Amino acid sequence: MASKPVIQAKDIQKWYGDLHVLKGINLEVSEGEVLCIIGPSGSGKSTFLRCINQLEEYQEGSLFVGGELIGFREVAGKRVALKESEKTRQRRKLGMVFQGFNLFWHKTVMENMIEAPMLVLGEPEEQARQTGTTLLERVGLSGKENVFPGKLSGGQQQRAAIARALAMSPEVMLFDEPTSAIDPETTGEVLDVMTELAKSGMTMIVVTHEMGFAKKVGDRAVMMEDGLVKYEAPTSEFFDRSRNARLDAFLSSME
Amino acid sequence: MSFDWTFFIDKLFFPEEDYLWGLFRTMTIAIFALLLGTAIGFIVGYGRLSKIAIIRSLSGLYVWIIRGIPPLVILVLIFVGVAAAGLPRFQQFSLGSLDVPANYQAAVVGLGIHTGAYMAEIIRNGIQSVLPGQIEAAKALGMSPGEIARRIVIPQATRVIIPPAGNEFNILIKLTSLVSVIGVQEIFLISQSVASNTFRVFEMMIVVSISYLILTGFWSLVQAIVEIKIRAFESPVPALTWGKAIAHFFRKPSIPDRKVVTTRG
Repeated sequence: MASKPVIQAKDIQKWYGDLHVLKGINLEVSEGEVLCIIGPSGSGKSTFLRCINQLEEYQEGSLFVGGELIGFREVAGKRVALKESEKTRQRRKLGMVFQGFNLFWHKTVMENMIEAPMLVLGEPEEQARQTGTTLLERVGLSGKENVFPGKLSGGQQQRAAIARALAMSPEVMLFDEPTSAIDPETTGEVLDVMTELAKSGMTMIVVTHEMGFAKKVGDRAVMMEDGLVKYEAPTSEFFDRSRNARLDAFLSSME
Repeated sequence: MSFDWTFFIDKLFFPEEDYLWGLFRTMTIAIFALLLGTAIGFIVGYGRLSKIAIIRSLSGLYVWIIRGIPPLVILVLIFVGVAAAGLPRFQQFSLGSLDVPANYQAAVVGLGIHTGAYMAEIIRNGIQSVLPGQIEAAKALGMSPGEIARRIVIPQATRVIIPPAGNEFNILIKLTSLVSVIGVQEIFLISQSVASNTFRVFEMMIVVSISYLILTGFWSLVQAIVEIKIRAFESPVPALTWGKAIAHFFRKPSIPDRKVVTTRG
């Protein structure tokens, strides 16, 4: 495993009003690594993921993506929030896949694919369409180019959403419970796409309840609970339950 | 009962030039007032959702005041009242060979102000109907706030805005009859003067009613086609072009039932 850290989180803390949701998260993700985050709901795992992409703000600590501090700038020892345009630029390195897919429902699948590459990266339409066609083929959605998302199954929508994120050539892909809103029958096809993506060397952070996937595809796994990382290990050791009683209890509750 | 059929048919099928000009004024006042009202609606509607408290309050104040005053009063206030108070008044100007009288301008502005308050609420509701996940997805793809507004929020909100906005335009077409009080020669005022000169009030009011009915009826048709077009994403066969939308309308004039749009499959 390459050791260059792509994502570094140092003592990330976040409050919603008085509610302390992240109590000091320390994590590193290296290039090409697949990190799975598991944990009970309310543990802060999705919130942490959303902080990386600045869909949420964190109040303390520092988050680096590719060595660049995210969301803030240090000016004479004080933290100054970045302008929206700076945040927008920083987000481009990161692709995100949501639990609810969030495909643009007023656009066809292909229009979803080419929207950001053309608008944000300034790609010519022909090139964007070519990339779109290739990526849709990769996720097994050839022939669905001119269909509206509402006509697709959950699994198909999520695969299209993965392809849409990949069209921006991100350095890291963030997955926020990508299979939690999908029928069990189609979960597999999404996990297959993610497995293939991991094998291709993509750096991935996956918040998931799919233990089989975490075990098979993840390089490392962490368990979060109550706003803290409670346990962290390479997946080969992680699922050896005898090492951690709390993890054992959580994994049992998932079965 | 006496009904002068000859008079009625003559006025209905062979309108005088004056009446046709009146029809032109009625239509253009409605259209310009809608455009002005939509512009006001976007500004005030977005203002109602502003992060800045003073903008939010001012926008709320606009909606509250304008919705609380009858449009008839607004028209008299901005045309006669403003002039009487010695404030800057509307001045006639010319567009090529076409004179745009002061009262015509006041009519457009007055009805625009009125309808703008309702449009603001319709547009605010449309913007609020956009699911947060859609905006998050756009952010995650690196789109800027302006790009998100232009490419995601407004197109999605438009689909919610169009049905009530079309209704608003229908009301606006009929409200143009109010501008007769500031002397704009639109179809109602012209019909009234024809009626009082000929004593054929009943016949003439039916003629003018039919005129309004044709205008609003034509608008309903346009609106139905627009609604089919913008609902392509949820109708069984995507009607992607205007031609297909029009064909769909004439094949099956009833608008397909609106399905609830969810993010889940």
